[in-house]
Amino acid sequence: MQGIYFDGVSSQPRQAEISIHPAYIEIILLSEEYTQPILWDHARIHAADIPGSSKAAIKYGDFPFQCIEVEAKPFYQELKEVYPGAHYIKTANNFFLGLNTQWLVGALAAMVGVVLGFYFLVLPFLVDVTVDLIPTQTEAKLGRQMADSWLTGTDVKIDKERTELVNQFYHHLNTNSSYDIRISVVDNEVKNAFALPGGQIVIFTGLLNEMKTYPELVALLGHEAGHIENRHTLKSMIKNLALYLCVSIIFQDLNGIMAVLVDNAASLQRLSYSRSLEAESDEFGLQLMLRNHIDPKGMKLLFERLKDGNSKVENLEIPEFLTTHPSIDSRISELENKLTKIRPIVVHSDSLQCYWEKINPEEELATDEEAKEDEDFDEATEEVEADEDKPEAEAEKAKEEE
Amino acid sequence: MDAIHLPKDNKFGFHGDGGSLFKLFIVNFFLTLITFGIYYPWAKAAFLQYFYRQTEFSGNRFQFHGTGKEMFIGMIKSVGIFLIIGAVSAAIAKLAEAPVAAVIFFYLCIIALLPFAIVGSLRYRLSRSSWRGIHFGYRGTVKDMATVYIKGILLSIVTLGIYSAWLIVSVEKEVKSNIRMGNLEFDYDGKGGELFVKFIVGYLLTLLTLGIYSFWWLADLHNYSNNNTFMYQEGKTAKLNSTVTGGGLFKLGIVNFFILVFTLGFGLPWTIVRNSQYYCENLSVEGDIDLASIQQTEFAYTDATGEELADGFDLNVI
Repeated sequence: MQGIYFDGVSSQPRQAEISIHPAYIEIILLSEEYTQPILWDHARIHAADIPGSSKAAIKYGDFPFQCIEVEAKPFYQELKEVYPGAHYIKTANNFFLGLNTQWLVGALAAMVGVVLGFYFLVLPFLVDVTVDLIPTQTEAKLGRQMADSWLTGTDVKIDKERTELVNQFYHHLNTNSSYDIRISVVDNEVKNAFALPGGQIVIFTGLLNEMKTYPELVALLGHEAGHIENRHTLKSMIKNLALYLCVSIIFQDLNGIMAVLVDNAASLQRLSYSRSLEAESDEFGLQLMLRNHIDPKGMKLLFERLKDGNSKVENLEIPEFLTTHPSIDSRISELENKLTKIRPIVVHSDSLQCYWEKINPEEELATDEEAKEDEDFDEATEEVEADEDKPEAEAEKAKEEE
Repeated sequence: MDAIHLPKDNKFGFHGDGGSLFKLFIVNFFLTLITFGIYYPWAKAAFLQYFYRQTEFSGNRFQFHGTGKEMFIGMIKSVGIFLIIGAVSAAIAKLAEAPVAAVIFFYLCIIALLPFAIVGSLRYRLSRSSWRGIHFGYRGTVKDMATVYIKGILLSIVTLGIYSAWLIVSVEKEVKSNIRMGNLEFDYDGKGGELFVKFIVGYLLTLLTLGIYSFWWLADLHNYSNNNTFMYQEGKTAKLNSTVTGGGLFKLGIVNFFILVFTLGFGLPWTIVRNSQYYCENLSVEGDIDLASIQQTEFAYTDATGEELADGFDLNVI
């Protein structure tokens, strides 16, 4: 085996023929007048990392060390054959470094498996346990603090008048909520809305302006209230927090980058829920509508309008919407599926309509086509409109039917 | 510049690969974790040995001879020193009821230890580094280092920071002029004034370009430091030649960023390898020094305290 020999006295590289014997390593210098071979006693060779790199450097004796540089693979092969018990092959690291690719891939797969198992099984369980431990008051307090700090941001403009009206609108409904819901309308083009833990809902005017009838607003509020009632925001936040903790424990040095990543993921507007959580909130919103005798088609209208509105606007805005409310088509079909099974009693509410007209005065400027649509809508609900004065009776009837 | 061009192989190179470094990191991480940090010096030794072994100059690899045991002893010593300083500070705060004095005492001790830490770290690290069997060495004294530091820090305060460019140059001069590799002597010829101009221009351009120029600035500073590093041996001269470019660093940084983000940080070893490859491939030695005739001169030092003190202070001295 060819190698390069250094005598430890000068930096002169010397080509050498190296052979391994059971008792010693023999080094014969090729280029010069050295005729005497150099013999290295195995016992005085220093520990070295041999597998795991392309070239190995092996040193010998006391300082200043003699040293050879060899190709690691053939040297290791020959050493294993001739002198397998070589003490100078370091074990702790070489055990891992010498592992073959298959083994490593297996170990990595196992590691990924553990990580995924933790993420999908252990983490949700821990999150549920933690969420159950947090009292409602604490959640409400946290939500208020978050809302206060978010709403007082410099680029956030609250539409005070509409905020007041939407709150009145919501509290006019029979909500049956264990949380004190507070809604804020924020002046912004974004077609979105989100819920903070403990009862805070934020609606952007971009979305409010898109809506044409009050059942849509009920549907939206019901949906967001569903997130609050089921503590979805808190769950997502705690999940993100738990992930952040895990990640920063694992990558002690990298938590700067990771914090940025996680922060982005957790930023309120992009907070996304899983499909099952969305379905849960849709169901909550639907129940709210049925309880108040509001046409559940409003929810479908809301979905469809959001979908249309977003396919029309530039691509830039789609992700914002998509992240918050994924797979709108499946949600529409699920809703339609539910509506075929129930026979909702619809009572037109003048007071809600009155609030709605104040909330969204643009409605008056609706095109003829849309006005017609509204007429149709009115016709459909005409028969029950007459009974408007007796909603109690209606409610009882509804109960019987349920 | 009257550089004499040596054959192409007077270049540096890095042969590490992300895969094997990844394995090394995993093992180090795992063993450090299960030993509650006691394995750390061995982990560090394993990393340095790997890193040196993969770094090539003129066809031959560097070698790091330090061991985990040496660094463990160093770690024990430095932990002991920190404990004593901490205990004395706490005693001043509690018994003498002078918390402000305790804090001042603590920081004065740290500042006083800094030259010891730097010199000790350099001595240890260089004595354990070799190329072609010839060991490096550090001849500087704590007294000289402390003089440079104290003078520099005082002048920096008086000149409201303007002197810091001269401080950096004088520290680099103090360090590099005391490095030996066998009978090869190193020196540094940077000028405070030139560095000051680079600081000002770089800072302004970085501001104007919203940070983008920082890559070019970094390249400029890196090249300035290396290109003013000289070697002398028996009347012959050579110098380092670094050809790092801002564009190169920009590309390196962006790709590394994406590697880290998309692998959730697991790609760190690959980014380290990419950095090392880039810096090594852009570094060479120009001059008429005979690289085959360097004679061994250094002794092996046994005190590893400096190494761990530097770690405690988070100094990155190589």
